[in-house]
Amino acid sequence: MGIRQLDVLVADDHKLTRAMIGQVLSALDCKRVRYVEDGADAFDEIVKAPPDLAIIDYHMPLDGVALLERVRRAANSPDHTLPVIVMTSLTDRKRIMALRDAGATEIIAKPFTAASVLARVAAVIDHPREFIRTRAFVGPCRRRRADPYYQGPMRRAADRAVLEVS
Amino acid sequence: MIGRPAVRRRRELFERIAKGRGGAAASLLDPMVLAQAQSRMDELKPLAVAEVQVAIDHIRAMVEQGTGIDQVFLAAHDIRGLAGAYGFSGAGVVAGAIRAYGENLPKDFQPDWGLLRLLAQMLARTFEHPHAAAPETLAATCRAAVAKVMTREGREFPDGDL
Repeated sequence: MGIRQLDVLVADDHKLTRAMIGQVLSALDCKRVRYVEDGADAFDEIVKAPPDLAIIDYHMPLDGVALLERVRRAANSPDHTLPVIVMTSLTDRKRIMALRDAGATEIIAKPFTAASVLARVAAVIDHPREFIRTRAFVGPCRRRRADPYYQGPMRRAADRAVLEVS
Repeated sequence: MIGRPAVRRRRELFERIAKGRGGAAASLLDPMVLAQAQSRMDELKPLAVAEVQVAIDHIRAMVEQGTGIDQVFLAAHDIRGLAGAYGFSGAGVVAGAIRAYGENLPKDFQPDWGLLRLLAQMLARTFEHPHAAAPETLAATCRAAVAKVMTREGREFPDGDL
């Protein structure tokens, strides 16, 4: 089964949280799950052998935003498009926007359940978003939905193509 | 480049899983898989309960002494992320209120230890009696108390869930 071929990296400075994620993933019988305690070690692991998916904490030494910046932009990052799921109990608007703008693929609010973790993993696999590379932003497309009532400027190349057709 | 074959491999793997019957959701969100994953996560409940208790004791000791706001903040942060995963949502909410108060304090700021003592006491009681009050009620009470003190101190209560 495909799920069993997954190689997952888990980064969190909280030992019990790492273990909790490990227990959830153990139900999937993944090929490999690696664990690290901070963002710097996580990046080293990614450079050494890029995983299929990283599940990282926001609040750790070299935090989630800094790690995302490295994964998405560093010259030595082996996979700028790596799906990265960020766990956080800090859900204020400023932090969620910061994670989104740093290129987070999905966000898991703590405290989490097994279902909330697996739902995010399934979303990453089943609904990959277009990857955007601009000077200001590198990461999965931040548009989650098409708003039929949107009346603002249509600035993207894809938008212009749609406008020309219609 | 080390990464390229890995990227191709991942894309192919994800495509294969997504194109399978029901996609990844069918495998990962299958009720039996979810039950097994949750049950394995629940095996860690005794460790989590013990860790939360230690953190609460630590917070109470610190606020009684009126020192170590940074440590109080970190312990509250850990409780906030952990307690709710094992049925202690109320304790998580009160810990969230302590964290909201203790975060980003200016250097040499003298926190309101009276407020923190009250919250620490609430935290301990809520953890001992997890079903005594609804998390929503606790959230509203804590938010009102902390926001009032923060406003008096010229600070702003952060948005987001407690």
